[in-house]
Parts: sequence; C-alpha cells; structure tokens
Amino acid sequence: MHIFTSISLNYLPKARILASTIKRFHPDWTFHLLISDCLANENKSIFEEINLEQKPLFDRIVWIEELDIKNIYGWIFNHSVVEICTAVKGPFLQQLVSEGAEKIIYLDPDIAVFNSLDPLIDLLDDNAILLTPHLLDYSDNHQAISDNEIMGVMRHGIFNLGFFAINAAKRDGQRFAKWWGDRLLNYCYADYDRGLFTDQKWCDLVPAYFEDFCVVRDPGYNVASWNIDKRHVAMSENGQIQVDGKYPLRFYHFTGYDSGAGDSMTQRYSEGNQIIDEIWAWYGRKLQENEQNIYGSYKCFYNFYDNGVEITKDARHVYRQRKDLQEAFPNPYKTKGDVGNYPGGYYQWYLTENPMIPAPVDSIGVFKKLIPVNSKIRKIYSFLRKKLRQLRFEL
Amino acid sequence: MKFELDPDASNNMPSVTYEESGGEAGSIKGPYQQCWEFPKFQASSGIIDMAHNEKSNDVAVILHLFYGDLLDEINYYLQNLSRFDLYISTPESNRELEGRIFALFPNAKIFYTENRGRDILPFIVIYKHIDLLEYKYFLKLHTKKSPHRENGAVWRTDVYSKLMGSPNVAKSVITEFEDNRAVGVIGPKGHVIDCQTYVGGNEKKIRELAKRVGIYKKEYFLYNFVAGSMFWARPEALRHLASLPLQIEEFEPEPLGPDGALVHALERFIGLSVTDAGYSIFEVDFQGKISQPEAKTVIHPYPFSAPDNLSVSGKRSMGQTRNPVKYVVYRIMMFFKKIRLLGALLYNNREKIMRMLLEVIKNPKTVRLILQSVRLVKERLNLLSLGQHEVGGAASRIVSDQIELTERVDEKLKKCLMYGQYVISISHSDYIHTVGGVEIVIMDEQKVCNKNGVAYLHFYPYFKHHSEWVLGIDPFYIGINCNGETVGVTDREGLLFALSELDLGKLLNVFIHHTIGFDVEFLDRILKVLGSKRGRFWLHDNFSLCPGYTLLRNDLIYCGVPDINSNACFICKHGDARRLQQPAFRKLFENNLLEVVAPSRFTLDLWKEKSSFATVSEKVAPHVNLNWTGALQSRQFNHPIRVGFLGYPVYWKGWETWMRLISKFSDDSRYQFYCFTSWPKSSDKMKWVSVSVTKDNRLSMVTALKSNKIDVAFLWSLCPETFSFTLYESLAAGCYALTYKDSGNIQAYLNQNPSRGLVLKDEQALFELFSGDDLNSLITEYQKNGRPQGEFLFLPEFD
Repeated sequence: MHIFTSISLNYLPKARILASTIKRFHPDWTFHLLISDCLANENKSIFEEINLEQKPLFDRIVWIEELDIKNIYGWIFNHSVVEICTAVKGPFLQQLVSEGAEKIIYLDPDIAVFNSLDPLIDLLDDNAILLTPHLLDYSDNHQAISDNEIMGVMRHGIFNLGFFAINAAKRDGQRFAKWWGDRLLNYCYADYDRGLFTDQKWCDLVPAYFEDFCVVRDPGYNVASWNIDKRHVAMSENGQIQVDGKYPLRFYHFTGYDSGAGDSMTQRYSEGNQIIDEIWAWYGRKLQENEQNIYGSYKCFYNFYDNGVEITKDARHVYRQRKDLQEAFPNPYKTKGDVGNYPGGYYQWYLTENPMIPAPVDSIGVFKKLIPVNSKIRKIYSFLRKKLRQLRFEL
Repeated sequence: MKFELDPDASNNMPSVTYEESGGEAGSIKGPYQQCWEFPKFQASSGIIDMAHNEKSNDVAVILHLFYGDLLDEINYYLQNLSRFDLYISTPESNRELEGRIFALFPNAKIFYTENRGRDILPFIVIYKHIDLLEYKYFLKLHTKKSPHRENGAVWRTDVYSKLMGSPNVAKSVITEFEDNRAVGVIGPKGHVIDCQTYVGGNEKKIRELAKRVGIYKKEYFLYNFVAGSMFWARPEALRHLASLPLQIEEFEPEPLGPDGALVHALERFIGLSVTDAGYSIFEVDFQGKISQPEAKTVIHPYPFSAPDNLSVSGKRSMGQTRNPVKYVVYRIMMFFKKIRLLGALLYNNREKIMRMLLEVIKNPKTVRLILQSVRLVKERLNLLSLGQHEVGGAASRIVSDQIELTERVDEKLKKCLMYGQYVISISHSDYIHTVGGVEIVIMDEQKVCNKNGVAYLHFYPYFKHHSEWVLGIDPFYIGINCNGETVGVTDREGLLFALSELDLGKLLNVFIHHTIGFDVEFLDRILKVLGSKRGRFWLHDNFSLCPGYTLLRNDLIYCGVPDINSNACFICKHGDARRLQQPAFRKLFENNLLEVVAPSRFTLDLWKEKSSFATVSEKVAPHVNLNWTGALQSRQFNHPIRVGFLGYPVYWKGWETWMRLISKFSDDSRYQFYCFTSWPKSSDKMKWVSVSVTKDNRLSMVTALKSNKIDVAFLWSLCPETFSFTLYESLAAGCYALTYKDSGNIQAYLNQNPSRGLVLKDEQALFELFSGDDLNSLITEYQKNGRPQGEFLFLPEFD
C-alpha cells in the first residue's frame, strides 16, 4: 500500500502529524513525501526523523526537481505555491504507477488520521477510483448554502481532492492516473474565470469518464469545516470518536488552519461541539510539538528569483501565457550566470518590458511621459509603485 | 447652504437647526437637502413625513441597503426577529427594488439617499428620528460586501448570524438590555475591538469629532468599538452621535479608501460616544450568549482586518504582506501599552514593594540572603540544565537551611532513626510545610507511628516540576524529613547510598502516598534497595490511572478512563504522558508486592476496573467517618434556602455551573447563595465566607457552615472524587447535598444514602430543581426532625 502527500516546507509540521497518525494504524504502509520546495543539502537532516516505533516517519522523500517533467523550472514558475503543490500530485501519481505501485492513497498534509483506513483497502479491491465529496447532504440554511454550496463546491469542485485513492491494477485506475496527471501538467491553476480550480475541479468529470469508481459515502472520512454542519461528531463511551452515531472518525481535514478561516467556519457550523473544539486544540498542540514555530513561516523557495526578489502574480501570468518567453527563459528564476540573450534573465525582462504594468493614471502624468524614455526612471517608478502598493496606496 | 444637528440644551435630545447660507459653491443637492429636518420616507401607502410617523413596535431595524442583491439574505435573517419597525435607506439607483421590498416587508419605510456617507450618514438621519420616537432598542444593519476584503462574504455572514442568526439571539439581546441598564450596545462577538489598536488613520478625525460634542479626554482611544458598525443598541446610548454638528460636505464623495474617511472615524467614534454616555459595549455570539469583550489590555486580534495582518491565531497568514509603516506604528503603540501596564502593575503592588524595600533598608542582611538565594537557585537550574523547573517556595528554604545539595544524609538519618523500628513514606510534597488533605493524612500517620515507637522517614521530590509526570529526570533531588523534622536534600545516588546504610531489618513498611513529581522508575529502585518489596500504595487521587489525575479529558469532561489507544486519549492533552506513565506503573506493581488502599469503595472499584495492575491485596480506608450525634435547629418556615459552594472555586469543582446557577437565581427571593473558600472575593450575588482548614483547625468548614445555617451544600465536582472531605463536612453541618453524576465518591455515597442528598444528571436538571418547588420539599423533609448533625471520627488506617 502506498500513500503520499504533497507539501512545501512550511507544511512540514502538518505532514509529520499526518505521517505519524497513519503509521500509528498502518506501520507497514509506504509513506511518500513529495516536496515542492528546495533546501540546501546540509539542511536536509531535518528529514532523518523517526516515529515512536523507531521507524522512519517518511519512507521516501521526493523533491520536485526529481520529477520527470520537461522544462521543470519553467513549469514550476507557471504556478503559485498552492497550484504547484497540487499540480505535482498528477505527475507523481503517474510515476508511482509506472514504478509498479497498485493501491495508492493520497491525503492532504493538513489531514490527521484517527482510526484505521483498512476499509479503503477493501473498497479498492472492488473499485479503481475512490473519491470523497465535500458534501454528502444538503442544508436548507441560507448561510450554509452560501458558504458551502455557492462559494464552496460550485466554485471549487464536487469532490475534495484532499483525498483520493486508486487501484492501478484496474484499467480505470491506470486511465485516471494518465488523464488526471496530464491535465495537471497543463491546467492546474486557480483560474475561476475559465472554470478551473487546481487539481480539484477536474474530478467533477470522473463520473462521466470512468465507470469503475466509488463515491465514499461513509461520513467518517474527510470531515471538515464544509460538512461539519451535517455530521454529528461525538465521543462514544469507550473513547472512540464517532460520526453520526456509528461511523468511526477515519480522518479529519483541518482545512484553512493557517489562515484562520477553517477555525472560523468550524466554529460557525459545529455549533459549539466540544469534541470538535478538542480535536482542533489537539491539532494546534501537535503543530507546536512539530516545530510549527520554525517551519510555519518558511517561504517557498520557488516564490523567489535567485536574487531574492519575490515573484509577482503578474510575472507568473505573463510567463505562463507566452511560449516565446518560456523558450527564451527556460529557467526564469535565474537572474545571473547563463540566462540567455537578455542580461538579468526573465526578471530583468519583466521589469523593463513588462506589458502588464498599466498606464499610469493622469494624476501622475509626468511619470507617464518619462517612463518609456528612460529605463532607469522606469525602474525607479516600478520600485516606487511596488512600495506604494505595499503601503496600500492604489495607483 | 449649511445643515447642522445641534443638541437641545434643555433635554439633551437632538433637535435640528437649518441654516440657509445661500448658494455656496459645492452645496449639496438631492435627497439629503430635506433629510436633516424631517426626511421623507416611502411607505407602501405612499410618501410620509417622519414628523408624522408613528412607531408600531418597541424595536426598530435600521438597514442601509446598498447592495440590492442582498435583500433576500437580509430577509432570511430578519425572519428570526419577531416584531420590529423597519427603516431602509437605499440609493436612488435601487428604486426598482421598491416593489420587492414592500412585498417582503409591507410596513417598511424607505428613505432614498444619494451615495454619500456610506451607511453612517443615512443612519444618523434616521437615528435622530428614532430617538424622538422613543424606540426602546434598535438593530443597525447594512449590506456591506467589502470587495476590498477577500473574505467579505464570510465577514458579513459572521456578523449577520451573530446579530440575528436565530430567534434566541434576538431574545437574549433584548433580555440583556432589560436586565442590564449599563449595556448600551451589543455587537457581534469578535467584532468588538479595541480602538487603540485599531484606530488606523482616523486618530485626528476622532479627536476632532469628540471635541465637537464636548468630550475631552487624555486617552481618547481606550475604549472598544464595533468594527463594521452593525450592532444592537438602545437609542440613548448614542445620543452624542445625534448631537454631532456635521455638515454633509464633510463626508467625502465615493469612492472611499479602506480607511481614513469620515465614515471610518465615525465608526470608531460611536464606541467613544457610547462609552462617554456611561454605557458599555457587550458582544453576542451565534448562540445568543452575551459577554463582555476581552479586556483592553489583551491584544484582541480582529480576524477580518488587523493592523499588521494578524490572523485569528495572532500570527501572520500565509501570503500576506506586512505594511511596514503601520507595523512599526503598531509595535510602538504596543511598547507604550506595555509600559503603561508595567506602571499599573507597580502601582497596584506599591504596598508590597514598599514593604520589601523597607525590609531591605532595615536589615541589610536580607539583600545578601536574597542574592544568595538567587545564586543558589540559578546554580540549581544550571545543574538541572533545563530551565523548566519551578523552584517556588523552595528558594527560601535553600537559604534558611543552608543545605548542601548532594550532602550525604546517611549520618543524619542514622541519628534520626533512634527508635529502632521505622517506616518509610513517600509523597509529592513536604507535608511539614504544606497544607492539604494528603498532608494531613501523612501527619496523622507520622504521629501514630511515633506514638507507637516507630520512626517515620519521609521522602518527597524537592523541586516541583511543571509536568507532574516525571520520568528519568536527571539529576533528581529528594527532600527528606524524619519524625516531622527536616533532614536535608539529596540526589538519587545519595539517597540510595543512605538507604543501603540503614538497618533494613527494622523497616516495617513503605507507604507510597503519592507519586506526583516522583520518578516511578526510581521508586522501583528504592524498593529494590530496601529489599522488602512490600509496600502500601494509597489512592489519594487517580494519578496512577492517568497523569491528568482529575480524569477530565483535556481538563474539560470526565473521560471514563478509556483504553490508552482510544481516540479520547489520543486527543487528550494528558494522552502522550499516559502512554509513557502506564508501563512504568505496571512495572512497579509487577516488581513489588503492593497493597492498594483507597479512601472509598468507589475509588477502589474504579481503579481495579481501569488499571489491571498486579496487587497483593486491596483495602478501603476512609480518612474520616461520621458519627450522627443529634439535630440542629431546622430552617424556619418561609426563610430562604441557603445554598453554599464549598472549597476551591475552580472549574472541575463545578465553579462555572455554580456561577450560572447564581446568575439565574440570585434575584430569586427563595434562595441565598454563599461561598466557603480560602480565596474570598467580593460579589453582590453571593456572600463570601473565608474558611481555611488547617492541621490545627480541621473543623473550620463545619463550624462556618453551621454558623451560617447552610441548608444545601453544592458539591458539583465534574471529576470522580476519591474522597471528598467537603461531603463529610457538609453532612456534619446538617446540609443536604447536591451533586453531579460523575462526582465519584460523593455520588456513590448519596446513591447509597438517598435521603442525604440528590445526584443530578446535568446542569439542566439542576436549574429545573431550583426553578420548581422540589428543593424546598426535599429540604423540609430532610430537616423535619431538625438538621441531622454529625461528628468527625478521624480514623486513619495504620497497622
């Protein structure tokens, strides 16, 4: 049995919790940690960790650079951190399948397992693909309709891709890995206008494209803020957390933990359920134990050019849309050394030729006249504009 | 043209002055021209003048409907309010919504405005007239989408659901207003925030507005305000707002920035206005629970818009950028706040500080002692190399006793053990210098031993550890007492060596009273050195079942001591420690022949069921028994029933339930409430009686209960008590006991003796008991022949 998760380094504490909770019930499962980030070799000793049973917490660590993807740096550059951490799931799934893995489970790093996942193994004997919907039941509450249906699944997809499982020994399992992996290579963006939401929205098509799949309707799986209003979580007399009276809580998804949105939505929909409060408090404690204070604030390596300047959303979009730029700057992160024909690489090109900087408004018309003339003034203008934006001035 | 709202000096109610100053440049056209006087409202019956408007209900809802598409959402929430008059202000551009509005709210009155002053200006206009109409309370709403915020919709629904998410919310808000005249405004929980922290770029404007209505303060910003300006209020609390001389031109035209406009200053000024009028701002949550916002000294992170992008957890969220200027200003502000707090701390403790200084001046030796103490403590902390140990009261003893840390105690011990035969006792604290139930038992035990010519040697962990569960701490220091006198302090090897020098043939028994703070593996080694391998293990509490010895999961609710691999233990804060602790205890019981002694049958049964440790024998030995000696005078007919809380006012003793009981029934003339504790505070809802049970005055609680003629003892322990002294104290004083189903030996006793008290299944049952007449009947029945009085029989079990 293979299980994997995908993180950038700031999610390492969460991945540790996920791995340790899985190993508690399934010490023999192979846990793959996929990291879309970069760390100097001498710092990689942080991964030499073991769990309570003196076994490795992560059986295998795969860095994004190791994936077999053409023009990998250009590909990474196309994506924001959230997008890249979801995009890599597809190619890595394909890699696992090609390596001969059969039963494969993916879990988001912000998930914790509370009871055995053995029933999934049985389900995979009979089905090629397993998915959990965000919602298993509808609500008539206006607020829930707005939060969970309109703003939730209608925008982000019916199924939550914090979990999926495939059996690659089955034909549809192989087909899913091929189709979904290919889509993620090219279209894993949070682009609502085009109806895309990373890896997740694609799976709305699964019931149409595949026959051999199963919607896991057991409410013990993937309990999260979006569905907590329709799932009654309680503690049984023998100390087991149960959902809807009889289903053991299999795994809980602490979505939105860092932004605070998860906590706020959970408080709204859990109606003061003490068990949910205790589960969240437990997760908070575990994060601290797993050095959230150190790693939680790590910025993803691929968010910066190699001169340390943070990459803007616009810069990504321009690069993503223009094949000529992708060819001219195969590694757009580079600003020095061999960067092609344009000194300073894509970074410099974007600063000087940037087509996304809108024409300045009339109030600063003087800049408008100066900018095309002198590239130095233009640089100063770009700098000032960036700083003013940080100060919340709108230009 | 100039419009002003001026206060009427005679009754402090706002009235209107209208100055025509000719066609000034920039004069205002449109609906506001009339509105300062008596605005025209569109009702379903036609246009009406507010001068002739009449109120139909006591509650008004004032809604600024800017985004017409949110009308259905508003309607959904307003259905939770039973009766109200609805005033809607909306831009002219929303005129097409009129039919829809009247279809939903036939009695609504619509006031068409121009798009200026956001929700605040229309509110001021309408508010003036509501004040005149003397509504009791009103709810101010608007339809802000906050497009500049990513979570605008979340923010809005959060506010709506807290203000009117259910009929209960509205009901409890009205009840709070009626019960508490000091409450002027009730905002949604989490949105009532500290102005000092969240003043933004509005400081200057707020000062100016305050001066206009005559508020002059040194500290303008030491108050809370409701972020987002949606709240419940009583009209008089906002009277400053109506008396504010404002010109319409002062409201900046749209589009406005996210901060710094007059409306933003007014949003904050409302808080100042309410506070200055002598009212408080409370907050209400989804369930209608009303509370005071956190103290202003606490940095209250506003989840929706914090000055430096603080998220709910107080940490910056991923991907957010920090505004450096605002951040620096914020840090400076926090710095001054800390200085102020420090000043307050020094001021509040000035007497204590003065006493210390005087002491130092009078006796220069004290300085040397203090310095010496600090040095010794530091050395010890260095030795322990952990920096996480609490030395607390130990510091003073270190100085006074001048004990060498690793002094060999064997010589001293030999001298002490002059009796020949001796016993060894182990517990969590120095019973000579500490007061507590277990310490009293140990002292009794020592006296009995000494009386019978047996020496009493006592060991305890010298340093109190933050974590009560200690395993493998090295170095580990042990304090030693003998026959009620301090012998010294030593470390593991020092103690083992000293024990090996003793005549083990004269050791009668080993009493293990308590192992909190005592390394259990080391205890096993001690027993091995003693060679007796016999001992008596006391169950004074449930520490040997779980380091969280109250057996409250996450210190909240009785866990039932489930399997160590259960989810309950997994999510409990004591779970990890329990997983380490249980094997150590199992080993201790397997390696030694231990007799288990419990102070109650309940405790022994629970322990046997949940531990499955190997024991030689088990025994129940209550610390005290009652001898029924007669009767005290009964409560006189029609006198209030006196109900008393006994002991520590802490959560697990049921303090929160007690406070809820009091808030419900303190005004009920049938009851009087008392609290008997050693930590008295002041409260007008109950009488506080200071009681300290000491070794020399063990009956002080009984005496206090008797002299105050307490009828009912409230013994609402949420955790299983192993032996509740307060139960016996209250019974001895003639009280009828009320307890909770999980209260351990209390409920066990009352279930066996149902005439002496009642076991209730939850708080609801408790409130129902107090609401009805059953309690009166029960007390009358219990006291029909006078209050049964008991006498303590102290019967410590020593063989």
